[in-house]
Amino acid sequence: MSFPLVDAALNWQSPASVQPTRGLSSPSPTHRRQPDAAAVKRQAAGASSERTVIVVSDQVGAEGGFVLNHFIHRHLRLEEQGWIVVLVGLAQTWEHYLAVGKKLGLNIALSQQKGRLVFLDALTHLATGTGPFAHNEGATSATTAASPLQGLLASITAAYQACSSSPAQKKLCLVVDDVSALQSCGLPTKDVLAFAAGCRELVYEENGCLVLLAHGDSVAAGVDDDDGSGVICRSLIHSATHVLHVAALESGLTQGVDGQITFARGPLLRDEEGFNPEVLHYQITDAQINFFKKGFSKGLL
Amino acid sequence: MAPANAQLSSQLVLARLLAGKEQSSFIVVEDSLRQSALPLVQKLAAQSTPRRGPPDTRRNDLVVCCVENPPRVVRELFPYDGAVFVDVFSSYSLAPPRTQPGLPTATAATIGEYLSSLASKDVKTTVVFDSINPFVTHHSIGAFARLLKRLAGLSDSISLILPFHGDCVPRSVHTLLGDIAVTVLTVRHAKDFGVALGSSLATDNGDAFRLVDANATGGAVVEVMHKRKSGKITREVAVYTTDGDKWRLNTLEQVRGSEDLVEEKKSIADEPDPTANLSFNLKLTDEQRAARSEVVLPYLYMQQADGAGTVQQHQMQQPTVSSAEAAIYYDDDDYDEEDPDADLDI
Repeated sequence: MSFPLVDAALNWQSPASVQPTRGLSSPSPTHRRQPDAAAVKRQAAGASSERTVIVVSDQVGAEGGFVLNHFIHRHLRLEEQGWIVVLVGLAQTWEHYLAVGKKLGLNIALSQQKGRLVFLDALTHLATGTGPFAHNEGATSATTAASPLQGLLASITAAYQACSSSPAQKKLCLVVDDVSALQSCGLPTKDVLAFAAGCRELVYEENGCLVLLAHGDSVAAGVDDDDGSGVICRSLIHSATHVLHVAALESGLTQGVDGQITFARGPLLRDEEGFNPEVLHYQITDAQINFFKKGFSKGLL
Repeated sequence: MAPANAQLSSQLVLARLLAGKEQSSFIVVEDSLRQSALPLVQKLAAQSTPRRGPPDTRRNDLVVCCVENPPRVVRELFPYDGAVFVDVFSSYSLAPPRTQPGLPTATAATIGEYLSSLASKDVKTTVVFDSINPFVTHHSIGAFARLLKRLAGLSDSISLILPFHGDCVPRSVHTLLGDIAVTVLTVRHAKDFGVALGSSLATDNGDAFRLVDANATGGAVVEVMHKRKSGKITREVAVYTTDGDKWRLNTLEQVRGSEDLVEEKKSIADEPDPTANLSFNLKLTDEQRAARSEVVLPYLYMQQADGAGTVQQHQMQQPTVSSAEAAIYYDDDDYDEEDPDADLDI
């Protein structure tokens, strides 16, 4: 499942306009009405997700992991464009993504069998330094010689290159869930930022799309943090093209609305992309996720 | 813009820097998540782009150091002919280094030496960094200070432009950069100063800054601190607005003043006409209005004061004075001087 309204907010061409939809969630009536004439018009001339860096910042009480599913599913559905998704799980295990994918109407296990999705279980292997972290070949820089993240980045590159697609068509969608977990596991900030820089370089080389989730409580509050966790999120945002802030509803709890996503302009976004910043509301139910324009929630109407 | 305002704008230090009329050997540009300094840095770099022509007639050289972003990205951000790009990014990335032909590489230890080798007495060289934050993140404050000292001690023909993200570095870095820099430009979002620029006028997000307002494309406010050679320090708050490639510089007061005018005009123009969509006519033509003025109103008492202060009452007479000159004389027959509050009794 992907969300047309999210694609419209990002001014991207929706996969639905490229190929017929199957297993798309049946959102609320407001959602079905939402891709209005203006949104459709923008989508028709919309940009692609190539060479984009998206940072999703979330908060305690408003987790942003569900947004990652949109980017995973969106790029898996663009099969004919050669997108290959590499999902680095630092916050959740494979079973989690499998279960969520099934609920949202997409069998990611099938995509994995086809070689269009690679899952790197970094969460399980981070403590032991095995699995994707054991891939320690390649050159090392002086400042980060001993970082286990170098092995993780090498594993990402190797997994992408091993995927079955003609090299001319391959594009990489790299999703990291989530970057803040690396710092929570004790890795120094400079190594985490160097890892993110390596991911960005890889994505730009492959004309791909990088999606990074990071906890940004202090970013949203506009305050300095004591533990330095906000530095990572802020530094990532400074190198992004799009920034998605997931937060609780600023007006408080409301029936039918779980929170809001702010689609903000990143510093590296070019003016000609035609992106208009906006805020969407969302509701997470057992079987689907609904997005609304502000004030269009079923609970409000 | 009025000539006086235009003259005032051209006297701004920022305007003189962007026009190349004011020189600064060490410019530090601070930005934040709210407003990126990239457009301003690009404009400063564009002012320093190499002039076309034979090498012996060139006056400027531009060197762009890619520290925070890959050279491939930085090339797109600074698409100037003749600019030299230096790859420092590779030393702060975990990706295996990719050697690109014609792209020199450097590290924090070697960048000073490399830049000094580029210096020439005849040619003015401008060195622009995309950001110096990785230097702060990956090195100690002492090593960073030594790097700055080395850069500041380069040849007089080299001008440095060092952007940094103020919300990602400790306070000591602000102090360090403020001490060593000749010019400090702090880019702030316009809403921090209560003004709305360009496209942000059209949004309905209110006056307070919200995350959705970040990195506005219409313009920004720049706080300028410039140290002159005489020792005099100039501080100013300038506002730049952009419309495509067109840049306009104003003082904050000018923008606030013009904003008031815009608001005033807007309020007059946008005032709804209650008679616009009625099914009957409430408006008068000029002929009807003239006819109405000729109607003699019965029982109209108009009071007119003469020179002696007495009041003459004219009955059945058309008014000849405007309402602004009229006065109301009230003669209360029931007034009791012994009990002035008698009318309050129930």
